[in-house]
Amino acid sequence: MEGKKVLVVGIDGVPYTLVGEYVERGYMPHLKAILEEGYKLHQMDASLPDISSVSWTTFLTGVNPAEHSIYGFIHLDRRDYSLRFPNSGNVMAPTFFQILGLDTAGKSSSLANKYLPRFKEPRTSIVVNVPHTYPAYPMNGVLVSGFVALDLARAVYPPVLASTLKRMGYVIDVDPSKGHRDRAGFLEDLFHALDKRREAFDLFFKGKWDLFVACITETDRLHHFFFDAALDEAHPYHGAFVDFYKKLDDLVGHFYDMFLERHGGQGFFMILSDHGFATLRKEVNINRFLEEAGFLKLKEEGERYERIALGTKAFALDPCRVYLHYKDQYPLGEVGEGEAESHLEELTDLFRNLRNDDGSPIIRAIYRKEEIYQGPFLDDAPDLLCLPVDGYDLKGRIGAGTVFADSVFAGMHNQHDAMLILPEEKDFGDKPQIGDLAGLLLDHFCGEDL
Amino acid sequence: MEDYRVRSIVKTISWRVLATLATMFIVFAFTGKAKLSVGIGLVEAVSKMVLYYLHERTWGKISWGKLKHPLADLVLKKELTPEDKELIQQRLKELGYM
Repeated sequence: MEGKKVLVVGIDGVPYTLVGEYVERGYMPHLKAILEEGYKLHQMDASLPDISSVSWTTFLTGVNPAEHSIYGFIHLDRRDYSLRFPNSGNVMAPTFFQILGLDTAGKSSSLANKYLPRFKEPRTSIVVNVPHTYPAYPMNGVLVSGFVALDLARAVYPPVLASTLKRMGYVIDVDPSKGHRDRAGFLEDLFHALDKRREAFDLFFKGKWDLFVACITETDRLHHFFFDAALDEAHPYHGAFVDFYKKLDDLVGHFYDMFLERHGGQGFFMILSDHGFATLRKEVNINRFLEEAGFLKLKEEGERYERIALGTKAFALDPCRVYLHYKDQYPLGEVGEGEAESHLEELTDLFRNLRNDDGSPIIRAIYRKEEIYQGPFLDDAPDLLCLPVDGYDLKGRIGAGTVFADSVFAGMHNQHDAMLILPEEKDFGDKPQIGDLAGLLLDHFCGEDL
Repeated sequence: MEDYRVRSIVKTISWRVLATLATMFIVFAFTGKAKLSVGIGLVEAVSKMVLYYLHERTWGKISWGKLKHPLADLVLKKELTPEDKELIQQRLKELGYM
């Protein structure tokens, strides 16, 4: 079908404030030109929590975690305290590209119920490297999975395209362990991976599609290891960091020009990140904090959460998803429904009073699950979710020796500083939320099939 | 990959039209009898069309001698294996997500 087209460029973990600063400094001339052509840079809220798997899934499905069921990279099996790693098969709401393809694989959601009746003709999508789409699954178009994709054979739909990508040396992801042992080599890998990403986008761009989602995840890796170099001109890797952004800017400009040339006035172009980033000062081990406050008891034996012992009232999963240890949900649980409220109040007070050495607060926001989530998977939601002040990376590590610890990483995610670039006429009024965007994309296609 | 049935049927018909015309032309060239050449052509057309179709479908099921795409048998697995889970844990740890 010839008609409206949408191009979405995702840049994982790129913060609004840094983009604004780099555009100002002249490091991103293509982006500057795009902004001058009638686009606006917005600061956007990421999902709660601001983890890539949750944020990208929220973007793709347009619904909150209690509807799509993804709350983090890890979930705890309440039957035996073992860890589960949700994948694309665990996403319980259809994505906007499944809605556009008129095949939701039997899934439904509030967004699908609203938009499916408005479309009569299936539209073709190409979706490359969006996190939490692994293993790839049948859809109307092409899907190349992003993080945590393990092997190309299961990361590509239709599978026959895997050989094409393999031949061109496509990189699913860089090896993050290299960032710990060979920083210069890791940077080289990031530049190389970005080249390969661009080649793959170019290849698929030539095909027929209505919606194209191209995601770049190297930015997130760069930030985890080098974010302290972003604005520090004396940092040994500052030049390389800026060069990476210049290369990114070139890629964005290249795609925008191609899109304009091919689809002109029919096109809708959007750039977004799934969360912001900040320089990391300290890691904060939330489970150690809960241990010291008497909420968590650990056994000596067992792995990770299997160490949870009798007497535990609460524990946390990364980054700060705090769960009450209910007696009717966990084998060793002992919190009854009647006690929940007093525990939640006590925990809220504790987190409010969690302070750094200089007395400044660590936690900037505390939410109860009913405040931020609505949907059929509300039971899986954390009872409390805390967001930190920038600089303090909250961790769910079990068995840490201290509450505050130095980190091997330079950067940490934040929820409040994701970025969004949209045509100026798309006005949100308030600060946009990542979950609003799927509806916006689907709206663009509405009215064509009447 | 095996062909769809409709492709086999269309190939059967197109080949039969071509081959029957050739047969009728040859019979006519040797005998000079138009009626006989058309008769042989019709009998041959029906019988050989059936035989050709069965022959084509049988060969379609034999993979020997076929060029096969290396990913033709790939199955999309939804479930992660224990090895996958180990690898994922490793990746998440390396990025500080665990």
